Amino acid sequence: MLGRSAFSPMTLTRVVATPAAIDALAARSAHRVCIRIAPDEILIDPAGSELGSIDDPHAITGTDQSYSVTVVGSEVELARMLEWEWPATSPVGQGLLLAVPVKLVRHRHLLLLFCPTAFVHELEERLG
Amino acid sequence: MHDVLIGGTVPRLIVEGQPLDYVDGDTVAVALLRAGQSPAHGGTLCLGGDCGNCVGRIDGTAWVRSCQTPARPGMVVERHPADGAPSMLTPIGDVVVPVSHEHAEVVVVGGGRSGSAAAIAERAQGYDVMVFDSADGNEVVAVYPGPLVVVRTVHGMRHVHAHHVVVATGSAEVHPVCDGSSLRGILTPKAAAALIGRGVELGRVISIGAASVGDTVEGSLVRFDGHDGRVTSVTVRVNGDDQRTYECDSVVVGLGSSPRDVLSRSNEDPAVSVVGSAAEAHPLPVCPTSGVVCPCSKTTVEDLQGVWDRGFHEVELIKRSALAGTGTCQGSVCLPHLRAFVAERSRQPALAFTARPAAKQITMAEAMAGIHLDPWRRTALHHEHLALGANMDRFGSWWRPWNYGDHVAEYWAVREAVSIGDVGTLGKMILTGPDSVEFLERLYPTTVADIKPGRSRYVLLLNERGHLIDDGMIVRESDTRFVLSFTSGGATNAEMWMRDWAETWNLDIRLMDRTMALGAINVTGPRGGELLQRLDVAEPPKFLQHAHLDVAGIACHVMRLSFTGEASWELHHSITDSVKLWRALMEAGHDLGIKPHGLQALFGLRLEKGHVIVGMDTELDTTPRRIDHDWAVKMNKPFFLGQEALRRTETLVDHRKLFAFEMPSPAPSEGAPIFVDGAVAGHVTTSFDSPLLGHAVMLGFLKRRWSPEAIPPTVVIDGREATRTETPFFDKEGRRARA
Repeated sequence: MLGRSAFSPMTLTRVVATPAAIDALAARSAHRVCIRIAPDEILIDPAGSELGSIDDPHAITGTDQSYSVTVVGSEVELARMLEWEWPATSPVGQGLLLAVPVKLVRHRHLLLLFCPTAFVHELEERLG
Repeated sequence: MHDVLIGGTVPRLIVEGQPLDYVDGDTVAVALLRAGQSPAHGGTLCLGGDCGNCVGRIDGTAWVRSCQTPARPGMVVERHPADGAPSMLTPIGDVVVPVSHEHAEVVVVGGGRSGSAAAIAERAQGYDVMVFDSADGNEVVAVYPGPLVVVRTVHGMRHVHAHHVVVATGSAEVHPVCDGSSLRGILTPKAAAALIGRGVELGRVISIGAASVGDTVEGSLVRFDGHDGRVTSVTVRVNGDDQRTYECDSVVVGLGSSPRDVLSRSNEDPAVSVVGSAAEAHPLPVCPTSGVVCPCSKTTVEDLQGVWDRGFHEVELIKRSALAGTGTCQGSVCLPHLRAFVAERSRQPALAFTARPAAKQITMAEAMAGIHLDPWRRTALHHEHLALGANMDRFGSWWRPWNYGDHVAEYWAVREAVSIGDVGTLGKMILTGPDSVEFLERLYPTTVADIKPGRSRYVLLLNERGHLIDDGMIVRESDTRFVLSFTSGGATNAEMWMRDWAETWNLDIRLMDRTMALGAINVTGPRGGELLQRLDVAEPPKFLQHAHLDVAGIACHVMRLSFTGEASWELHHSITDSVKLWRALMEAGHDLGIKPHGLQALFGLRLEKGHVIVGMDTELDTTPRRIDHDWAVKMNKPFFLGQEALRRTETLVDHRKLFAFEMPSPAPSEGAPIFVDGAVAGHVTTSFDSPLLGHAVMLGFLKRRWSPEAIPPTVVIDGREATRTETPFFDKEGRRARA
């Protein structure tokens, strides 16, 4: 329905640090898929040690394989399924899709749909 | 019977099993009236979708307004029963109505003069405006607070999330209320004009009031008379008491209009405004003295007088007591008359009563469009469980194995050999930051600063009222780094809870939720240590210790604790390694008698140890004292959440307390009432037929104020005597967990 491929598990790096440190990390990771979950938390692809130093001695960094991802073909169709408005200027959207928590990312020309792998079976079923 | 339609050139409906010709462009109601039939069993017809006097079953769906339904070839039409409600024959299980979500700055409901003007005005201010009108195939059936506009189309439902909604639905015609007003053949002026415009023969027409169809007569309406349910004459009063009666086939009654405002009456959202005729104060009709006021609920003027005489003098109360306005049209017909009734008696202006969305009848499938149940999570081991024959069930927002076919065998594997359980559902957080210790000291009622790195401690989580909201473990990794665990259902709330308090206290912490990133397998049983040694763990952590170790080559954070009462190690690991680790454990433990265990066995195992499960053995206002967990609360700490509330209440006699009981098997069901002296004194929270002890054990609340010495030693459950005892039921010294 969304013109999407199957969901694939994805390895990301999750970082929790001060907002300033996350700002700096996001700025130098602009070429990567970044999901700014909160002012103090970010998920970045690819995982690994390419992040460079994080300017926060108390930062928590961890490999995160809890998400699966698919590329959405039709943003119009996706919008019809969302009960909330995702502003066109916002690179990341977080909310429910068919009552399943998801994260949406505009990355270059792609629209990525992230779903916790624990919920993928539910979302697959609801997307039909 | 219907082969007459095949190849025919005249389109036909099937009405009560018989073909009925219609003309292209007819609605079902018009087609029936064209044929000299009535769409329902009587009452004034408005043909504007306002009243409920034309509803019937169309193509299997009851309560459909036939005046708003275009006739189509082969459409099956049945009238509702003259008395009572139609049966709900529509299958709802296999009908899925698609829904699309849309967003707009402004939605205007109604494309008439005021609606168009509103749309122009809004657009002139630069707003994105959507206009919906049923004439265009977009029937707005509800406006919910939000606001959310629900639109029905032939393609499905549209849920439009708007910043502002303008209701411009105009006005509805007032129906007559007098003796005989439930007869067939009575029309509003617009209905008459529509029928004449469609070429429908009305016979001899008498018009009264503001109507001008057929023979117009002067005077005020007195009554209708009829034969066989159809009007044959109308009587009007002229010049005082002088009454005149006119023979007729149809009567057109023009009594003015009332706001068509059911959409705005159904919510008080300030983002919903009403304009045009729908917002105007229309004159009320003359107060009715007899007849049916509310055709939907068959409420008469006498009924209204009856509730008035009983003291119900407000429209909302009269609506609820007389049921006027609670039917199909939600007051479109009766509200003006009801207001006139109240205004005359109270000598006060009577306001409109509220309506309840949806404003129009929708099917269950239309109501369900876009509704989804809460999703349930699967752990990374879901398919492993299924392959092992697990019976899965839902707990704490996760699918979990209830058992693998024989919970008693699983139980014995834990007590006598070794078993593994999937505990990946537990909440798992990492906490760091310079204020992490201070934060935890405030968050938890236990002391934290004295937990050494490499050690862990069981903790309760209390709210401001001192009520238990969760429990778990604090695992200290360094001076400032901790791993915190929570119950499976409590993790999401716990994260928000901690973030809120960190902000409130302005403490410098970092918090990362690892619940869905990490799997966890509990290795438990007297041979659990041996199993881990086989998988390269030379020295498994001792009780309440933890370490980062490789197990079968997989990086794990190994935590030694015990919920089952046996030596137990939780192996936290990346979810991508869960299957590999699970299989390695099962294979290495084969000759040790390993079996996986499900929740059914786990619940019994922990009950033998007297461990409570938050949410099962606790209530919303359970304090530590009520479950005998005072030992986990250090009141002499400077501060912790809930401390003040506990201090205020600790001197009071509590009327509720969790006790342990035992009795011969079978175990009573959870929730079973507990009787003392023949009266209900509490209930069982959890119970289990203990294979080891050979009898039933249980926890249960007693809810009376007893002095300690008066607490009854025995109670009655399921008609049998149960004896109060102390927990744990098994291994009172805890040697096995520490072994």
